[in-house]
Amino acid sequence: MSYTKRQRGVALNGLWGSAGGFASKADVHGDGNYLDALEWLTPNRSIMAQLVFCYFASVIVITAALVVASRNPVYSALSLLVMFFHVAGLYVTLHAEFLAAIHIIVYAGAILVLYLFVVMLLNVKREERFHRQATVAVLLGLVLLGEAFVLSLQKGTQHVFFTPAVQSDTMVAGNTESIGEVLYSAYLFPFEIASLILLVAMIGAVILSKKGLLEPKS
Amino acid sequence: MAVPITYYLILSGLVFVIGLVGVLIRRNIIIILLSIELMLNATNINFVAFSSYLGNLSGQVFVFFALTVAAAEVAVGLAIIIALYRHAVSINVDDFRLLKW
Repeated sequence: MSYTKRQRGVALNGLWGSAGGFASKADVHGDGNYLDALEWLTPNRSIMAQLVFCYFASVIVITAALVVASRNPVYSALSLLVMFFHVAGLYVTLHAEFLAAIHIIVYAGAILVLYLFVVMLLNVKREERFHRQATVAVLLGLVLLGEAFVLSLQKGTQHVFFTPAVQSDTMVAGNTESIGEVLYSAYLFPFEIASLILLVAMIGAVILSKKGLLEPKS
Repeated sequence: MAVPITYYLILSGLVFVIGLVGVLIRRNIIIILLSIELMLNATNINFVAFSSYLGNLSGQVFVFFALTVAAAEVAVGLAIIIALYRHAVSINVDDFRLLKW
């Protein structure tokens, strides 16, 4: 079975089917050979992949913390830029090359420039950094984090190893072609809705930033 | 490529929690929007990891849509910030109490 046909079938299943089909979709090949693919992996490649992941993950977490912690909004935006590049690198290691490119173009090229533009337009120097509910927020965050760790480390959770199930097929078909195939067939209607959302956002941004809309009439 | 899916989940959870804490503790409204971007990125990492792991491209398509919504959100959010700044010369969320009881 060719890759794109299978993908289209699975995508259609996911779009119109219910959540009950999730378990059956997990085994894409239908023969359950997740662990067979591990045999040709030498330990060296595995360790290399984990090292690369650790680099990307640590930079992502550190820069994400810097976004929240730094006092100057320009520094926050710049560390968010570094984070976006590393997230794109993570996407490349996950064989999502098209998304990595789109991520850099849209986030680093458009969204972050917009943020920096607004930061420099408003040019607010003085600010108190933290809200007065900061302790409550940090406590809530710690509770959520502890919950996540308890869930991920609890007994019975075996480490399911990542096997690139699509690797060989995607190399032939190409990531961009496959995404285009799925996007313009199974997800055609959501695609049109997305264009409508962009149109609404554009009109809304123009109207909201028009002068004389929110000022008191006097 | 033998990275367990658990690692991706832990990374995504960490980034999401950092974004959540940022939304709750910061007073600068621009940083609050940046923290929302952090949370969107955490979910995107999850989507892509599961997409590769399950061999199903739907996850990547959903990241595509999340990107679209993020772009729209940024455009409208920054327009609202500029309008607010024009109204009351401040971007501190404590100064906007019009809808509070």
